[in-house]
Amino acid sequence: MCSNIINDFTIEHANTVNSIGLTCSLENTVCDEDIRSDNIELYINDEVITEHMSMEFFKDEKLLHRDENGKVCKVGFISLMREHKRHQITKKLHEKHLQILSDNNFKQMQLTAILDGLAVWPLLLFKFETQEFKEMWVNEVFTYMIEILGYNSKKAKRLSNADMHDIAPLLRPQNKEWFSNWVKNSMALRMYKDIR
Amino acid sequence: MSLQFKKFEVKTPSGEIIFFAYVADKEAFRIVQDATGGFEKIFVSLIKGEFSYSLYNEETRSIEEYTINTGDALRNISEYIEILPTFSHTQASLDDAAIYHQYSLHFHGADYNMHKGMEPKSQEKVMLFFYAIHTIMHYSLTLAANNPHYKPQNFSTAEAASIKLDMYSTVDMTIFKEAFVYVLEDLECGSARQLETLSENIQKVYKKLLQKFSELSKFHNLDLLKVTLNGRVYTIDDFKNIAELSQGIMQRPLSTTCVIQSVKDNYRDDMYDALVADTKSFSHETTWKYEKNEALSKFLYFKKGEVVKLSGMKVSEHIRFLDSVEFLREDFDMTDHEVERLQEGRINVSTSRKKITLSTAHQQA
Repeated sequence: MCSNIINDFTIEHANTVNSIGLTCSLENTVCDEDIRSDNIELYINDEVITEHMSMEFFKDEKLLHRDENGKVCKVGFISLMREHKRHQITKKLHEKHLQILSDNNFKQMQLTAILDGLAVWPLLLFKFETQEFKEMWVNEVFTYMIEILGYNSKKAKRLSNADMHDIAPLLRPQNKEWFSNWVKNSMALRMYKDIR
Repeated sequence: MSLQFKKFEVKTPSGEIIFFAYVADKEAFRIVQDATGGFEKIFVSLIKGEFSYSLYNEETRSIEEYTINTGDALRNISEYIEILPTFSHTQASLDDAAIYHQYSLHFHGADYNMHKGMEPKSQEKVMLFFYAIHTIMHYSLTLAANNPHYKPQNFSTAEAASIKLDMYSTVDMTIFKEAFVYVLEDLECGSARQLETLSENIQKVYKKLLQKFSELSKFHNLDLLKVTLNGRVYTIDDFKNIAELSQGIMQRPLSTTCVIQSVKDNYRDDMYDALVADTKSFSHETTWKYEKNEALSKFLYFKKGEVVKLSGMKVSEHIRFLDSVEFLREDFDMTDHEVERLQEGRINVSTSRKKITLSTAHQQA
């Protein structure tokens, strides 16, 4: 039944990135006809690098901001151990996820961005589920730019509404606290990305 | 009963304002500042009871979903203020605000009832009228010598069922309100008071208001207008009388020598044509309105350049109503055909054929 939506091999393949020696194992797989969920442990050179990671696969879920249903992958938290953060592992993993999910006819990825994810997922072109979520994020970035980067209000307004590729480097300044460390731990914003 | 407004502010920890609005309920609010340009969306969903947010619970590693919907806009904001520190570095507050109710205009009549389909043209007229009163309110502030350049925050609220509009401001417009009370009292009793008893500033505002109210006679299907001021409701239903009252107070005779420049059809209104004249030294152009009259307009059109003595009524600095035109050129004469056409158009022509008088000419004292 677990292969109904996506099989073990494909999930393992999606979480393997040869260029950085990333492999995985699936734990606590739970399935029914329409949903499959897996806890995933990631390894680099046989060393576990995840504190927690989970993915859920839906066979026929309502797609956000589209008038249709389709296969959806909901990414749970991808929490990497401290020493493995900031090595673009999430970015490379996401590129692999997109490729494999696309090959298996998934239409959309959905997740809730928290902690580091609040800086990572917007940069990976995830969209906010609602305008309110987007504005909550812009609001925090605006405040960060004023309080930590020392920008004036005009500059902070312009940059907090700029393209993500322009904002991203500003959220990781060399000699100041990073946005992902500064932002409140409880902040959680739902996001999604269409798979083409 | 007027609304009680609160001041809602969101700031960064160092006090930089992110968002600032006055709010009384989900329909009555004014956004004064939105530094990021998008907080309005959060604010509007908040006061409508549609604001949803998620919180990450570190202990259980789970996401908890919430919606703020207490059924009351101000309570929603208070709840938001309470939870804000859990997910944001920003700080918010909701405090009492000194917002003064200035006036309400409540229009009643077939064209002004939403349930029966409000007539768009009438609706537009109402809005223009409402904001014209607002302009006079602002003008009254310039008369107060102590703060002529102070710009208060003004905002309006609307109840669409039968077009009720309220005007609020951060400054209590005392001169405006005093003059407005006099106008409304006079309109209710149908006669104007002795303006000399009022101070110069009050007189100025009084005249502007009365003149604006005289336009109500042109509103279609308007049965009555209720004006709320200082907590009292004034009911006005004899709009024709206002126009007459206004004419009596506003108009004063005027006579001047000038040169005919041109004629305008449908001058600002399809009820009027107008004669444009200039002083002999071509330094001050004036426009003289008269009730639409094709014969007169055609006649005057062909008299461009003639030196004339125009007589009529000055209603305001820029509005004049034409009563008569006297041609001053010594050898001026009209053809029989011209006289005939003018008379057909109910224009009186003097026996000397040098002066014409409109049948609508005002009786001068």
